[in-house]
Amino acid sequence: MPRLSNAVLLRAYGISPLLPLVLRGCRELPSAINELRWLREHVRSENKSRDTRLLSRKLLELCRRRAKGEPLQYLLGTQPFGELEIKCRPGVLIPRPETEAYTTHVAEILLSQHGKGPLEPKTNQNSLESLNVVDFCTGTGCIALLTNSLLSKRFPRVNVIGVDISSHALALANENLAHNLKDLNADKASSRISFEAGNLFSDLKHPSFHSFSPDVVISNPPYISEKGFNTETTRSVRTWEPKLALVPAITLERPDCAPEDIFYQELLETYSTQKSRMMLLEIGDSDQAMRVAKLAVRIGGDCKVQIWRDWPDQEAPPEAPSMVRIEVQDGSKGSLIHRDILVKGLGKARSVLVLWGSYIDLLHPPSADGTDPPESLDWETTWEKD
Amino acid sequence: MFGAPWICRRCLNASLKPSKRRLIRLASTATSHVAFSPALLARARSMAQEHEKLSKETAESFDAKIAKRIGELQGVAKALKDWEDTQSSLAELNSLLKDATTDAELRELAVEDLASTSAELNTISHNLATSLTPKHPFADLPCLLEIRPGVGGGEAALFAADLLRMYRAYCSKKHYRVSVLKYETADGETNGESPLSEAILEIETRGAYGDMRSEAGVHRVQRVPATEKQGRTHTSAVSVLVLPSIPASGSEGQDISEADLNDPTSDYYVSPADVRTDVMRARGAGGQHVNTTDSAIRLTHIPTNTVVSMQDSRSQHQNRAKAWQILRSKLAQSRREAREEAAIKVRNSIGASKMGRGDKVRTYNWGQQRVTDHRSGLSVHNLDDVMDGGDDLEKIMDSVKSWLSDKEIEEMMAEEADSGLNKTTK
Ligand SMILES: C[S@@+](CC[C@H](N)C(=O)[O-])C[C@H]1O[C@@H](n2cnc3c(N)ncnc32)[C@H](O)[C@@H]1O
Repeated sequence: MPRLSNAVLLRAYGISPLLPLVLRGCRELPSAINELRWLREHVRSENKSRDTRLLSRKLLELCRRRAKGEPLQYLLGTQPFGELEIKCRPGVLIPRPETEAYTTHVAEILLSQHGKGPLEPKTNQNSLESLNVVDFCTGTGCIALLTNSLLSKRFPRVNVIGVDISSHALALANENLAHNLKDLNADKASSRISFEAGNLFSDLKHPSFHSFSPDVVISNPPYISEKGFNTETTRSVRTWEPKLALVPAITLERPDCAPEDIFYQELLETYSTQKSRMMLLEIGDSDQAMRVAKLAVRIGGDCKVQIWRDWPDQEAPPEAPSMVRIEVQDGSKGSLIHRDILVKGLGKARSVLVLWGSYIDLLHPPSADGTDPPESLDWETTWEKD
Repeated sequence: MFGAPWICRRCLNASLKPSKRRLIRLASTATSHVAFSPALLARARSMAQEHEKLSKETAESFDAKIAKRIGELQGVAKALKDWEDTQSSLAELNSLLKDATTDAELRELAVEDLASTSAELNTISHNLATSLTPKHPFADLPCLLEIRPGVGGGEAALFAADLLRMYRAYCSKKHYRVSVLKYETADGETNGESPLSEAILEIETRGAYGDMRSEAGVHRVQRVPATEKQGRTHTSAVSVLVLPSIPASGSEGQDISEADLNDPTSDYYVSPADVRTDVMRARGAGGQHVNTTDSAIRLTHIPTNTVVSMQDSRSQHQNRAKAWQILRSKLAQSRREAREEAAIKVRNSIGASKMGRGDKVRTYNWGQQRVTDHRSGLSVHNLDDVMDGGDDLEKIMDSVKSWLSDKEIEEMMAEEADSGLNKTTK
């Protein structure tokens, strides 16, 4: 990690003596200015006392902790997620803005199709337009809660289940359910949400999961490799967030699958045999996106695959590829087949969407021209604040 | 430098061409009466008739729309009735005086009466004229008040913070609901005295736009800055913008209907396709690898290159919603301004000499403890009370409002005369 230059630290000090501390934790001056403001507001709203010396001491204490890299979200105890406020604490992964972006986008897509018929699931013939959603590896419960909150605005029946292996995570998810009750249309008997303990690698075969046949599966599972954990995560993530949430802990021998991809394989194998319609999987980078897309094509059966970037609702510049070509072994014959996959959104590759059945016609545009798309995703945009 | 200084065109297209300008003398300044053109009187009469007709209709069945229209017409109907009553008593008195058979005592009474009734007529005519000037289309809306320091560096930034405090105090005195939509300081501090780089106050109470719109313009301060060692007085400036606040689509109880928000020809419509959204991008791999706190949003309305950025909240969702609200307000305002400008060009016989965007509207002089408004010409000498949002501020604001209303009456009458002229020449 590059050292902060003295000039920057001095400039920060000139603005506020507390700022260099915050800057050590968050590394960027504009962010540090905002963070210091939020810390100050937090101290003021948490303490009834008007004793300014006490308040300054508390603020100083928080800034010192921030300097050691402790995430702001753990210091403040919350992170906004869409219209919700999600409680955060050590032991459970902090919700990320990219996760918020695709969760919102999935909900918007489903809402835009509401009332057009085919979204009525087969699983529940007599309850029109009900929707079953499962959020595997739910952590704070953020994805499950936001999905429920957005969908229950229009769908008369939404059932969401969040599953996690960690008891810390489940306890926090339930607290978050209580914390956001007013946004969840909880008064609607038809909108249900619950959190359950489960290990993806053993409990998926459990009858209680079998009886809940999801239309939509969303998952942000651990996806970082051991090596990536040591070299690509920031110090704050490494030291403060749970490794269980970041690096797949089970190293089953899977010859055809990288260790950091095993959650995807398991989810795809399980849900492509059930009657799911849509699966959204968060991934770490474009290489992983390509690997997961191939997995989906190979084991997902009759499906269509898309790759979404960080901000899937934003239009990418024309120079960004809107299609990518992948090649996979055709299982039965062993010959190579290729598939062209739609890529959309602005930023870096962030998630893989898999569609089955009627959702394909609804949500997947027919492929356009005949030109061959590129075979890599190497294209990215950044916008730096000026 | 001013980011996007704004001034209400209507408030400032003050000086009309001399030839048309004194078409009528106003009651407040004149000895003679307001003289209404026949066209204007005809308009007042037809509005009063409509009022009467609708009032009869609602006596039988209630309709919210009609009730609203009645409310709009009521002022004119009442003012016209007063005016006509006064006119007829004047006529009566005059005929009494002309009549040779009127006895001396009665004549004396009539003369007295005539004097007082003529005096009354001034006020009554003025009322009628006021009721006839079209209400500003945004007048009933809540508003956004944007404050930005201009020339004068740090001192301007400090004065900007003073003005923000002044308006907040004024609003709390008036029981307006306010919230700070955006608050950016030069150094990220939010406490007390910190210099301001931009603030947007949302005044959520309906009609706030009408109350505050004449505050738009450049406010100048003359004082010795705390940092000034030689004790010299500096002059700095802060610009104030007043924008209509446009409710988000779907909110209830507003004056703007859902249809307006979704109608591409309306001032309030913004096509999402025209707006580019930029967010702060995490460096490095993103996703689970980093846990940044960036929530800044920047919206760019591509056709007009209007940019709004927002980073106050930790919630990107909220920053986006606020940025959209401000963008809508800015676009509605500039569209209206553009239309007004076009209208002025069309009837260039009036040739409103525009006050520039950078023209000062008010001066706050610390040394003399004086606040002077350059439009109404009113000075008050209780600067502290003004800065506390007290009665003296209201006094100044009222003086500007009546100045503005006079200007609008003049404009309307000139316009009316103009169109009358056009009709006869055709
Ligand atoms: C990256 S976090 C995602 C949290 C949350 N969905 C979010 O997006 O913020 C991954 C979660 O998976 C859980 N997890 C890890 N191994 C698991 C397993 N074998 N079965 C179920 N959940 C597991 C962890 O406890 C952690 O909460």
